[in-house]
Amino acid sequence: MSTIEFQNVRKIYPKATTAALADISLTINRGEFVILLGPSGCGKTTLMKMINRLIEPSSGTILLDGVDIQTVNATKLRQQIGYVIQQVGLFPHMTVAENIAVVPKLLGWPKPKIQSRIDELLSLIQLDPAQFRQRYPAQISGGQAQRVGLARALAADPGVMLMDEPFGAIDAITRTILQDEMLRIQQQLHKTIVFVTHDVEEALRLADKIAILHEGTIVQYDTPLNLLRNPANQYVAELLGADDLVRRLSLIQVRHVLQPLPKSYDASLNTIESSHNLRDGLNQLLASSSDQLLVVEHNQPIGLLSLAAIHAYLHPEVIHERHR
Amino acid sequence: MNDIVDGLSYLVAERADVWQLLGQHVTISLLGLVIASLIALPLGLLVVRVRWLAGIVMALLSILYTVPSLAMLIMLIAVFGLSKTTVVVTLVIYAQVILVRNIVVGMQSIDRAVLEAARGLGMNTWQIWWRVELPLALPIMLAGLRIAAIMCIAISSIAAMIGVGGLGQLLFQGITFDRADMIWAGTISIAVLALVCYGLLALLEQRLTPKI
Repeated sequence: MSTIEFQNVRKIYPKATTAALADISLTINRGEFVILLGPSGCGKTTLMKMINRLIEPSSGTILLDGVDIQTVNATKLRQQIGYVIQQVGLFPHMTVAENIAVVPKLLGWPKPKIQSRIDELLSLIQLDPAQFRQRYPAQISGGQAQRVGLARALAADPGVMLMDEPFGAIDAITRTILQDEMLRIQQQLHKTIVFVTHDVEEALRLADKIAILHEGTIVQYDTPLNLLRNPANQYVAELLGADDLVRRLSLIQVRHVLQPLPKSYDASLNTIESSHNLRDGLNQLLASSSDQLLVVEHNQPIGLLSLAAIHAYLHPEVIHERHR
Repeated sequence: MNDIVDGLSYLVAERADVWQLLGQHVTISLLGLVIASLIALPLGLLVVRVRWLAGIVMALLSILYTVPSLAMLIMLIAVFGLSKTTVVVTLVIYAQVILVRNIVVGMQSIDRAVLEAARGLGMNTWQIWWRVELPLALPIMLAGLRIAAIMCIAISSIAAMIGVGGLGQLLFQGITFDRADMIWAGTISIAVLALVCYGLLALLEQRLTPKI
């Protein structure tokens, strides 16, 4: 859980005519899940790899918890930062357990501590330790490999996690599962996460905040909802599909739009969990025979969701009162 | 068939001499192989890391490799005289191509993502080499060592021509004295040496190959 601060960071590759990154200033607060979003070549990966000094800036300063990372030994710095890449890059000659143990070993942890940590992490990523500890990377599926890649990055309990399109090479079904896992793990661990992707849906689903990059600059940096509501320019609006109302609904939980429970209500109404999003709510409303849903939390009814409420939400002047 | 039996009986009858020749043969081959490996390893790693060197070094080694071993020996006699050094230098030159090429291929066979992960997780250059690159490239490097070892044994046989001993001596003396049994004794003993050596290195290779 650390704060990352970019101060006027620039990167110009040798022989390049334009800067890969032009004067980036960006603060990533501790415990935030921040996504760097943009098309390939926009500089998002370069920006991320500067945090663990796989790429050095041409000028500017990067602070990790207030400390200039240039003053820290690069390998020491990397050992404190989790790193997950799209191609996973598990060590093929090591078992799953040995892969996870890499950083703790580098840090000289005592053996029993490493062993219990391996089991703890395998449980966290929902792979049975007894079954997976001794397997080699070639003996597990792509989705399982990326889970192990995540466990390996989390092994020494780093404050910061860098994730470079970690689910980019995984089939759509498994990707959704892994995204859910990622959200669950983040709720448990509260890491500062910097996550690179070009997948807009993924960004909207996972991020606390999204930094949208375009040709080496950050065009806008805000929460998914604010980005969709107030895109800074045409580029952001088009990239996010801001005029896609259903997409916007998928970012808002039912609890924010529900109407208070009247004294008497129809207990036979279909129910929806308050943590579900409005898109699910709309879907269920359209599928049900009634124009209302009963919103429940911990199996207790807490309110009603109606088509009218969703419609009202989509009108900006109403949003401000209702939301939050 | 009789000649082969005669060859075997020669080996038994003259075992004291044969053991001595075997010792010389193994010493020269091993010396050549060890020195060649000590040069090839840093050279191979250098070539892997400095791209533009790769073409030059590999081309140079390949040219040297095309020189017939007999011609190489004779050329080197001019430099080192009729000595073991001449033979060992010849072995080092020939083994170089095989060893360096296999080191380069072995290192290049490693998935780049694995190396990026190693660096990103915080391994230093030495740790990446020792824990990742070496174990992953080792099977291919050892295959090179095995081929180079067989080649050293073969070339060492010719070395008897310049009077430094080895099992090849049986062959040359057999030709000189027109003794079929000596020629067979030499042939059989060199073949057995090569096979045993091949087998041992193959076993080592199997032991050190990661079980994937």
